[in-house]
Amino acid sequence: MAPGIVGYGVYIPRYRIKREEIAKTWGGRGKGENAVLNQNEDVVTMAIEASFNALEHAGLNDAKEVDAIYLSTDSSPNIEHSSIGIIAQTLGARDDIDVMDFTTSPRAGVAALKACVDAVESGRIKYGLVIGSDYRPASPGSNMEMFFGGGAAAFIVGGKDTVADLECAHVYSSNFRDNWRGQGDTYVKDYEPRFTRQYGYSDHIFNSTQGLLSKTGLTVDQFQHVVFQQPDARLPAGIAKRLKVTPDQMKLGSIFQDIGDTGAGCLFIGLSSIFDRAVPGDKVLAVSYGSGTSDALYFSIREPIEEARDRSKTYDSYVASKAYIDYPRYLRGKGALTKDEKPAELGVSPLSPLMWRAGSELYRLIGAKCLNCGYVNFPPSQRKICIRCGNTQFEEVMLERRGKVHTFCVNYYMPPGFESPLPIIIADLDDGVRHRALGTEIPPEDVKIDMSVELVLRKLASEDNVNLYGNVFRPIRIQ
Amino acid sequence: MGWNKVALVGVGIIPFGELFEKDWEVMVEEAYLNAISQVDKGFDPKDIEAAWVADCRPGAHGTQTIAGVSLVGNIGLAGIPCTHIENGCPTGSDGFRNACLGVASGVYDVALVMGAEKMRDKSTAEMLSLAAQGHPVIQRGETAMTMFAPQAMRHMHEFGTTKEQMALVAVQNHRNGVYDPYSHYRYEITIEDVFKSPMVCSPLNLLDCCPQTDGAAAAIICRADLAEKYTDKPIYVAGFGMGTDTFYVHEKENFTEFVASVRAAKQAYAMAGIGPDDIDVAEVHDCFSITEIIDYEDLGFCQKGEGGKFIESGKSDLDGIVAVNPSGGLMSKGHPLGATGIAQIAELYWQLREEVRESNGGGDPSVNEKRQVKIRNGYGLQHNVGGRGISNSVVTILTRNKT
Repeated sequence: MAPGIVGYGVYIPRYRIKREEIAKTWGGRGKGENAVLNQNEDVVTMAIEASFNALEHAGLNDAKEVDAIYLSTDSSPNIEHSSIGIIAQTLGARDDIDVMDFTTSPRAGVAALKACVDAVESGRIKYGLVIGSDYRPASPGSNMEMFFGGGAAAFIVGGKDTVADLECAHVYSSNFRDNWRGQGDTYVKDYEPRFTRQYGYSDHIFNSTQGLLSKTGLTVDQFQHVVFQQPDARLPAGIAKRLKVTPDQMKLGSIFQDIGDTGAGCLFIGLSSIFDRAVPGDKVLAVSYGSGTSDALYFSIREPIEEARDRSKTYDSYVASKAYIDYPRYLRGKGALTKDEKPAELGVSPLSPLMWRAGSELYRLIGAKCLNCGYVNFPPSQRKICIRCGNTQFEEVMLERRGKVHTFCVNYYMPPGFESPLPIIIADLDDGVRHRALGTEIPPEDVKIDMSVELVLRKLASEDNVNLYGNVFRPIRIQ
Repeated sequence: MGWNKVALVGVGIIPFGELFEKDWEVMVEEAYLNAISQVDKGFDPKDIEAAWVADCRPGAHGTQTIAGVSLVGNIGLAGIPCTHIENGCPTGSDGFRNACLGVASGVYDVALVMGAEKMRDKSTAEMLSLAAQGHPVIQRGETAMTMFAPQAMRHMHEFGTTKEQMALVAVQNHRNGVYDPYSHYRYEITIEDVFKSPMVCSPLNLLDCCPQTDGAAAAIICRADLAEKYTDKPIYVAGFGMGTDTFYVHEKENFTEFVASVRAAKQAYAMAGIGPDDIDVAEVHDCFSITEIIDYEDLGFCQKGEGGKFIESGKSDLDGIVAVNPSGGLMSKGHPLGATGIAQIAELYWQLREEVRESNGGGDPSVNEKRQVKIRNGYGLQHNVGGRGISNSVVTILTRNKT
């Protein structure tokens, strides 16, 4: 049996912009909508939410069983410095895992997946976590701004109890450039689309798919589900016609109209949507494209998919959970509309030893439970004596991520660099531990005492191009 | 009865406000000169054996952050010991408390306490940014407002305290401030004015908050048995207390009281041998309207949860059962952290000597006297609460009763 996917999880940001809203400013026509990031989200925060969902779906209690984390993205916050460190720390992964970054192309996700499957097949690792998370930067007014969205999906790859096996893969690669971002470029660029659509996307996908079909002896009509890389709405429809793929085969994997082009996350999210409904025995064709390379993948759906079906949040539940924003708010979210002001200095650098000492406790939410009185001290790196009873013996506990608001305020006059108005919430977590954090993804007037909230990792600030992360409260988004 | 080991023999403050034309040092020098010139029988600065300087945010006025102790040199007292105190909102009152300990120890006979704060030498944005610095994750975005507003939310939720009741604190203290020539703001406001002012940090509107104010204050204390050298009407330190609480907001158990205040008050009452009913006049911490409502409860002026009703029924008025913030409080007078507590002590000094009319270095006596409280038992109470996580509080009880 081929190695494959033992669990998967998606994350789609809550905010959406309708393409017609973008067209109001720049002209043109737009149908559908893009999922877009809030100011405090990035590739890292999306990757973490998707990974938690994937671990849950795989039935793994925590990330300790994961032997590798492979992250694919074209929009990492850093050119040098891997984002896997904070992802691994937040998930609670071991420190002897294999970590690898895949980038420079929207097909990076598939490259990561193939590498992970190989690692499992070789026996070098048992479980690997592969993440595709992207929110590529599009210039205001560009064609790509109409198309680019944000989202992430994560796969747990393993050798047994798979929900979908990777049976075969075929690559077609050439020296071809359609979209690119050079050193120092803020935004992704594109070359004449009438040329690149045909000789880039269409021909590469056609060739990789033909290669896969001849390798496997299968025909296109034998696949119940087909998903292509989706840079827009027209390209997948065109290649489908060329390969004689029917709209019915494309139905579950088509995500562009709901969330936009999610780059390295696209194929993973499309596959997750298919896995949500597919039944054992189904064959799935998934074909990537980016920067002159296309991978055609053949998955077969396995029996365990039925048992795992309701273990985590579905793609549909994320698509349904949304709030629309207008164009200026969207620009602020992607950092294209900023105030000319100096943000409040943190006083303590995100790189300081203080953050290094407490990092895992703050991201993962680890507390020190007093063995005498039971009070959970937080953060443990700063509390060696129980603040309630003075005892010095503790056990490490993981804090619950959900709770109820005890009290709060909404500050309308935050210092420079903060979002304002900003809710600040003090909540009692389900384990009784009191926690204080900023609020997010809620209209300020909707915060109420006793409302249910959950802690999610978000970007708190950025200083010297180094992001500072921490947990914030949001209303429970999907039960 | 009271502890009464230390006597207050002279106080001086300067009119609070946006004192753009005055250096921090100049503010202190003026307050000091006012203090020594107000000593009834005259005062020789050579009598001062030690000084305490209270300044919470030395970095906020552009001079060196460790300049506090050098201040004695500026006023011609270079040579004597001087200690700099930084302790959040109770910085001034804690400076006073430490000076009292110095005198009561027998090491010094006469001591000087000076408090000053520059709140307007940096822009509002810069001051907010400074205030928000703390643990970059655990205290992200924490300013004074975000520590006190959640208390208001919870107090409203648990006890039905209303926005109207909170607004009454601002109305009362602005009314009193009209009679105080040292006050930053000297105009009356209505409940409606409070509601119409911009929402700053829900549920607090702008007029639920004290302003940003520059100011300075000074006090001269001595061994109680030496007081008659300086005055025939000394005010004695009957007791004091300082209470603390845990540092982080998430470590607080109770969001409807300030535990530090309760602890400070308990110590001070025990030391003075009196209870809340004995207090004629109180200068309490009203950085925000909700703070004063909770203060009534923490200081024992009313039962837990009844702070809103307490002000509503007029019990904190100038002619109420305990006159609260006759000076106009932080709300009108302003809150220059290092000066605040000492200025409160100055107000109580004048109130207990029943000389509000004359003692002020300015103002119309016929206006000033409108805030004179009727002194029955002879006790006044000073209170501050604040610090990161609202984690410290100082209460000082003063009395004109010699025993």
